[in-house]
Amino acid sequence: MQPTELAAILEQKLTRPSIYHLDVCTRCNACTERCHMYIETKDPIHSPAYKLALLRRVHKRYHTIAGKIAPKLFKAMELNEDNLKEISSAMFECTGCRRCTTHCPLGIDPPWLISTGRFLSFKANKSPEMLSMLSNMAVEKAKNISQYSDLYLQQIKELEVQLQKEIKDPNAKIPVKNKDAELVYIPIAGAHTIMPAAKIFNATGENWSLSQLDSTNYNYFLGNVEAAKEVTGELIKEAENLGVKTVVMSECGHGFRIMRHLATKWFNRTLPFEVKSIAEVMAKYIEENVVKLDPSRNPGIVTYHDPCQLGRNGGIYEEPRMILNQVVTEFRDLTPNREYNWCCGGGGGLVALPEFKDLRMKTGKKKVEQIRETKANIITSMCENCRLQLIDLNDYYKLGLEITSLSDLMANAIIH
Amino acid sequence: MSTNPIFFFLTAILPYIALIILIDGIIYRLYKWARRPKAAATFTVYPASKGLTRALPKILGQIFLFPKLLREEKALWMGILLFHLSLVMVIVSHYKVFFRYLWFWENLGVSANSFALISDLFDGATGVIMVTSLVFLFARRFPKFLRKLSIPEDYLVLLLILGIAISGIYIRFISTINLLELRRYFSSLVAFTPSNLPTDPIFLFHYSLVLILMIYFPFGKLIHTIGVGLTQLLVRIRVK
Repeated sequence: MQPTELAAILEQKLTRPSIYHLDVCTRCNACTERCHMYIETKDPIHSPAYKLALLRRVHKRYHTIAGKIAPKLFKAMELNEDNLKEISSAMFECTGCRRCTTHCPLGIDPPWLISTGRFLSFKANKSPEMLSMLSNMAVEKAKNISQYSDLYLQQIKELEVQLQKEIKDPNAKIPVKNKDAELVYIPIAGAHTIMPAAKIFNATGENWSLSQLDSTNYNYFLGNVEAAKEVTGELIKEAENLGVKTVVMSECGHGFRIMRHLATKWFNRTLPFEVKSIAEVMAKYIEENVVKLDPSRNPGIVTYHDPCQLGRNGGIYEEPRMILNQVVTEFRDLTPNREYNWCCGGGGGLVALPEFKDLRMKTGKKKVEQIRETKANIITSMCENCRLQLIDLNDYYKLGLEITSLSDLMANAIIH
Repeated sequence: MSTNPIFFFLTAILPYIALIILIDGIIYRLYKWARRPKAAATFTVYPASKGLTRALPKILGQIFLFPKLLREEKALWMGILLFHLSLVMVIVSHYKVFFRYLWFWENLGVSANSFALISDLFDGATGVIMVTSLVFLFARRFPKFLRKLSIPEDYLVLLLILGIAISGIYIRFISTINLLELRRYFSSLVAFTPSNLPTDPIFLFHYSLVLILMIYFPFGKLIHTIGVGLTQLLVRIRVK
């Protein structure tokens, strides 16, 4: 694509908030040292302000009068091959954790522009190949869900048998396509998010249905909202067909953020159901004393990593802590925590992309320091990308940790 | 001097042009912003207050005191805060340049001499704070990463304001400019009949830098004065 064509794509993607974020930044640099990536690499492309500057300089060059009259004043930048490479690296080497946004004195949101920058890089054929592949596969799968249906139902039946053995209840069920259900639970593909939830729902007698889809959305990491909507659209359709009152997201960071905070904006309509995190559901069960818990089943020192997508981006801080205080014997918070927590280094889709392994291990150092400080031997988090990153960090830095999910801990503590 | 065409342009024509560019430029920029489509996204950073009324105190606190930066980088926080504080003080100081002020102080029981002392202290403090903070903000853009991030605009606008500040201090404390003559000049501008054109060279230097600032204002990063409210409204409010 010609530079002017790419510039036109950028221009078209710059919404009202985008232009605020580009024009209001004064290069005060409060954001840079708040970023876990910049702190470890000291590479300019890891500074949020620098990433914004790259896009702004392109915008000035092609689409502003000021930039055409005084290009040197604003360091106007061409979209040539070298600059596109720099832009692509800057945009993809980000976890979208919004620790920068949290600290910006002006309230600028770099990841919003980074998402636009990723889309631009994608259009310029400079996005990580694996991410494009996963994104295409996701759209294909969502459009052809009926093809996978029989195989899926069979696998769930096998899981059901395993569930019945594990909780010693021959009547335990993992219902799929349950039209009477009050809620639909959207897992991450794989038994690890289905089993613990199934145990909890069976213990509380919840009338639920397991989704045939899953919560991940790779197109979101590509900044390709049109394609991301195809995937999320299928989740909404399934929930509408089931007629459920609540859609419950499993422990998936970006999946939760999309369904809870972005879907209504994407589709420009109120959805006919509530969206909850499994944390909110578990916390409610505990508050209402629907289950008996034995925290001694989860011994050891447990700490919690606030996933960026559930915390800063999702607003779920207190429920996980309330749950942990009831299902483990000793819970210690990381320092800092909640909105000041350090990103694990695995977000933004990076965990799925092999070329970023070294970068992830390097930029996860702040996380490692935090964990070591608590002397915890078990760490839990509510985001799959975080858990995968923590597993890698545990391996790399020999932390001797057990990494588990919140629903695992609760399922373990339930006295059936 | 008074027949010099550049001098005439500077004191009798440029002020009008600068004011028009300032006002229309801002309107133009805001119009171009508003023309863009709204985003299909939310930008809330949690925790955030629900609804505008509850969020407004926090937003104002963020805008004027930016406490999250104080937590992390005290020196930068101090430099930014002191600079913006000095801007407010400068606006207060300039009141007495344009308007009669003694009546207010006499009503408070403050004599003209006492006021002169208060004014000297206040204006002196303004000058010191402004120049120190500007030098800090300028010097910090030279080492390492900030040199890569900063663009010529960043250095030039700081130098521009520094030039205005230093010449302003000179006018206030050293030169013997006639305030009454200045007031007559500005009144004549408002009446569209420029007269009593000022001739003091340091004042003209100060004045032309201010006019340049007015012309540049709508097109660069200084628009953050207006934009900061818009970005904070996106980030610090939650709907649900």
